[in-house]
Amino acid sequence: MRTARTLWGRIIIYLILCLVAVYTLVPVVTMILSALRSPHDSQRGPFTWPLEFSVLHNFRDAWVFGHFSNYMMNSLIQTIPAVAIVVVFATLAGFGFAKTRFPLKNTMFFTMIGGMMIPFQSIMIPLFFLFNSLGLIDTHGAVILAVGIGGIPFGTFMMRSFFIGLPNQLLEAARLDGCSDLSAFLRVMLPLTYPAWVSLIIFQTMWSWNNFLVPLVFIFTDKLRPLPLGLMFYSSRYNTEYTLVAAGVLITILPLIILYIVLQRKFISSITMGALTG
Amino acid sequence: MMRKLSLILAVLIIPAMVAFAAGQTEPGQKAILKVWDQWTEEGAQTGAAQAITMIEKSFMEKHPNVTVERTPMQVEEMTNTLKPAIAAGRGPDVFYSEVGIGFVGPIIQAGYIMDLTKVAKERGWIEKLYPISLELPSINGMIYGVGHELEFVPVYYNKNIFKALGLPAQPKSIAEFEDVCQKLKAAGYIPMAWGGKDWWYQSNFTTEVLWSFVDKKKIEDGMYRDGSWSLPEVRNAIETAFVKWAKNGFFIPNPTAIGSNEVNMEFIQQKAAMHITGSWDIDTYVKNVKDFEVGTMLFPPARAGKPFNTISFVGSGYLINAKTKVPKAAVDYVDYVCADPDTARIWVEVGNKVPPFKNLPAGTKMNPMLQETLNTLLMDASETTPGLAMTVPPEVMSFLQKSASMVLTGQITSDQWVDEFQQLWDKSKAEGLTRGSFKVSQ
Amino acid sequence: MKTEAALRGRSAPVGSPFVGFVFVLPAFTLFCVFGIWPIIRSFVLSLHEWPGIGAETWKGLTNYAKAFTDPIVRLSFFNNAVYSIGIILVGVVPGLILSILLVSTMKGRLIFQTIFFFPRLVSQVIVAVVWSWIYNPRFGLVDRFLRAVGLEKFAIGWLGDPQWAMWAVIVAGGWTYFGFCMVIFMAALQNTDPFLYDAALIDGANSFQIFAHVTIPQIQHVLTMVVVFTLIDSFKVFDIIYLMTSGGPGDKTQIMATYIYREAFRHNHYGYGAAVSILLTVFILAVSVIILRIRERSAEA
Repeated sequence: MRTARTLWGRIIIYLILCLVAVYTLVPVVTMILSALRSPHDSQRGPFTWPLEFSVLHNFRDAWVFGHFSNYMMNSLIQTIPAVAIVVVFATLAGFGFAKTRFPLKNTMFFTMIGGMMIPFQSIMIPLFFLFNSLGLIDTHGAVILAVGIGGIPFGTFMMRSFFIGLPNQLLEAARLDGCSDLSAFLRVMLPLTYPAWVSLIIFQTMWSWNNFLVPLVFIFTDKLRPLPLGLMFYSSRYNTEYTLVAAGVLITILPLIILYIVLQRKFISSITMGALTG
Repeated sequence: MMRKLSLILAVLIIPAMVAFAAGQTEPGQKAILKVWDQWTEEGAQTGAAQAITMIEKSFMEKHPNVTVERTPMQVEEMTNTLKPAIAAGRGPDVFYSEVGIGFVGPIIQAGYIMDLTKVAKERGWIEKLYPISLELPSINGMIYGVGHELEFVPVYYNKNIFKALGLPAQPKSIAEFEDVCQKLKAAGYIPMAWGGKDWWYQSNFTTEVLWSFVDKKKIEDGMYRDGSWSLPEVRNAIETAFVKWAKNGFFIPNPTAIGSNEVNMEFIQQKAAMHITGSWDIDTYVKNVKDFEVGTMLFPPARAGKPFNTISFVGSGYLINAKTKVPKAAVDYVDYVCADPDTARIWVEVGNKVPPFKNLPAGTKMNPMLQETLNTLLMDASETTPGLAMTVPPEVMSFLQKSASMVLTGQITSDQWVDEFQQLWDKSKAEGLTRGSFKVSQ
Repeated sequence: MKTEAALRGRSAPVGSPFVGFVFVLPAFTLFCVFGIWPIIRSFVLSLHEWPGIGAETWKGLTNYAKAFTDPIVRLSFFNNAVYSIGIILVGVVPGLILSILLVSTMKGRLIFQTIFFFPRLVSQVIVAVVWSWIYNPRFGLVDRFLRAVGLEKFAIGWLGDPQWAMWAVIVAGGWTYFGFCMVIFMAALQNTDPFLYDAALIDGANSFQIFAHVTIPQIQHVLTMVVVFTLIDSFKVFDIIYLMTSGGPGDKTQIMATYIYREAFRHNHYGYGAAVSILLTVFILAVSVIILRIRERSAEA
C-alpha cells in the first residue's frame, strides 16, 4: 500500500494518529485509574492524578457487595444461549435462502430483512404480554429469546451472503457421490462456515452482552440482572463514588476485552467481512 | 465431524435449557404473598430497606402460614411493569407505588384495585392514621390505598454557617430569604444546593415556590376541582425562582446539568449553605454529615403574614390487588406495615421516616433532625398541603419534571410556563385524569 | 452478468426446494411469532387508545392525525436527523480520514487499529457514565481544561445546555463509532488498485486530488453503504440519549424512540405511542427500500 513519502508527511500523520489515540483512550484510562485509587482520593474528582491506591478494596466491593458476581453470571447465562440460537437458526436459514429455491422464498427473505428495521419500542409491549402468557417474564428465558430472535434477521442475512459466496460445485460433487441433501449440507458446507461463524459469534456476543433495553423491560428483580443493567442502577446509586462505579465498569467490560485481545484479528476481519458482503 | 457438531450444539443448548428451568417457580405449601415495593438498598432508602426487612420478619413470625415474597424495585421499573403484570394476572398482591390518580386511575377503572373503604373502618385506620394518609389515596368517596411515609419539603440548612454569618434561622418572607441568599453569596457560599438535572428536584422545587406564592385555597381549587392555574401569583413564583434567582447566582452554577448526588455533595462538603430537598434525605444526613449541624426551616411565604405552606407527601402508598388470591393476608400485611405501633417505632428508629401511624409508642427515639422537622411543621401559622406530585395527571407531571430547566435556560418564559401548564391540565381534564374529572366507572 | 454467475455456479439452486424450505422454516417462524405478530398487534393498538390496563378505546386513525400535528413529534424527528448527520460528521468522516492515514503507515498499524476499534466494544451504559463525567460542569475534563486555558466562559454544563446537549451526546456517540467505520474503510482501501495511485502521482497530482479523484471513487460503494447504514441506524437510537439526558433539557434532545417510550410508559398513551412507533418503522423501511432500489439501479449501470 501506498506509504507517506516525505518525512514531514509521516511525522504529521503519526502525530494525528497519536492525538486520536489519546482521545480514544482518555475515557478508558480514567476508568482504570479510578478503579485503582482509594475512595478518599477519588473525591478530588475522576480527572485528577491518583495519589492513593486501593485496588482490591474497590473490586471486592463491586464484586461482592455490589452483586457484580451475580450480574456476571446472569450475563453469561443470557448471552451464550442467545448466540447459540442465532448461530443455529441463521445458518440453516442462510443456507436455505442461498442455495435453494422454493415458492415465496424472496418474500420470506425480504420480510426478515425488513425485521432488522423495527425499533424495539414498537414491539416491546405486545412482546411483554406474549412472554407473559408463556410465563417467561422475569426469567432469563425472556431475554434469551428476545435477544436471540432479534439477532436472527441480521445473522440470516450474513450467512446467506456467505453461502452465496461458496461455489455450488462442492454440493453438486457431494450429490454425485450419492449424499442426500442434508448430509451434503452437513458434510460439505458446514465445515466451511467456521470463519463465518466466528464473525457471527463475535457480532452477536457484542450485541447480547451490551444489550440493556431488553433486560430493562423484561426483568425486574435484581438477582436476574445482567451486567449493563446492573451497572446502570449501580452507577446511579453510587454516582459520586467514582471508584466503585469504575470498578463496576471494568468488570462489565472485561470479558469482551479478553475476547477482543484473543481474537483480535478475527474481530476486525469479521466486521469488515460482514460489512463488505452487504 | 458429526460428533464435533453434536458436542458444539450440546454445549450451546444445555445452558439454554438450564436457564429456562431456572425461571420456573415451584408452588409452595404456604400462602405466598407477593409484595412489590420501592425499598431498595440505595441512596436515601437504605434505612427504610432495613426497616422493612425487620418488619417483614416479624410479620411472618406472627402469621406462620404466610410467606412474603418481596421484590424491591426502582420507581421506573415499577411504572413500566406494574400495569402489564397486573393485567396479565402475574402482578403482586400488594404493591407500594405512586398513589396519584394519573397513575392508578386506569388501574382502578379496570377493576384491579381493592376498595379499602370498609377495611379502613374495620381495622380502625381512620382513627389510627393521619387523615392525609387516607385522603390522598381516595377518590369519589372510595379509599383505594394507604399513604405511607409522610415526607415534608422544608429547607435544610447548615446551622454552623448561618450562625457564623448571623443569619436568621427562619426567614419570614421571600424578601428576607433573598437577603439571606445575598449575604451567603457575598461570603463565598452557594446559597442553595439545588440542581435541575433530576426530575424530582424540578418538580419539588417548582411546587415549593408555587406554594409560597399562591394561596392555599386557590391551590386546592386547582388541584381538586380543576380551578384555574393562570394566576399572576403563579407567574411570579416561576419568574422569581427560575429567572431572578438564577440571574443572581443563588444556585450551583450550571444547575441544569447538576444531579442529586452532586447537590448532596455540595451541601455535605459545606460549599452550599442550604439544601432544597425533603425529609427523605434525613437518612443521608445521618450517614454522611459529620462536621456540622443540619437545621430545618420552612420555605417562606411570598409576603410576611401569609401562612407558611409546606409540601407534605405521603411518599407513595400501599395498594392491594383486587384479584389477589390471598386477600386476608394482603390486608393483614398492609395493616401491620402501616397501622401498628411496633412497626411505627421501627420506621422511625431504623428507617428515619415518619409512618402514617399517629400515636407513636412512648420512648420511640426519633432522630433529632426528624424531630426538628416535625416541630417546625407544628409551628404556628404553618400549614401543609400535599405536593403536586401526589395529585397531578402524568402529562402535567412530566411538564413539572422538566419545565424548571426550560425556564432556567431561557427556552420558555414564565408566561409561557403558565400557559403550557394550564393547557396540559385542561388536556388531562378532558381525558378524565384529574381528581376533579376522574370517574371510577367509565 | 448472468452468464458470469452461471459460470461460477453461484446463483443456480442446488438443494431441493423441500430441504430449503425446512431449513428456513424455524428461523422464519420464530421471527414471525416474536417479531411480526407483535408488530401487527402494535398496529392494532395504534388504532385505539389504551392506558396500559383495562379497556381499549377505538380511535381509528386519529392517533396518526395527532402525530402529524404534534410539535414534539416533529422536534423528535428533527433531533434524530441532527443526530444522524452529527454521527456522520463525528464518526464516519473521521473514520474515513483515519483509514487513509493508517493505511499509509507501516509501523504500528495494528496497535492503532486495535485502539481505535476498542470503543465499539463498550456498552452504552458505560459510554453514558464516562462521558457524563467528562462533561460534568464541576469536575469534568472538558470544563477543567477550558478553565485551565482561560476559556472559562465556555465552561458550561454541556448536558444541561439546550444548545449543546445534543452535540455533546453526538460526540460521545461518535467516539464509539469512528473506529468501526475506520476498520471498514481500511478493508475497502486494501481492495483498491495501487497502479491508479502511481499513475496519478506520475501525472503530478497532489494528495487532495488523489484523494478526491482516485481513492473515493474506488470505495464509493462501501462509503455509500456505511453512510446509509449510519443514517438508518441513527433513527433507532435510544440507549445513549436515554442514559445521558433523558430527552432533556426540556425536550431539546428528545428523539423518536425516547418520545415513544415516554408517551407509552409515562403518559399512559400506549395507543399513541404505538402509532408513532409505526410511523417511525414505516419511515425507516421506506428510506431503506429507496436506497436499495437506487443502489440496484446504479449497480446495473
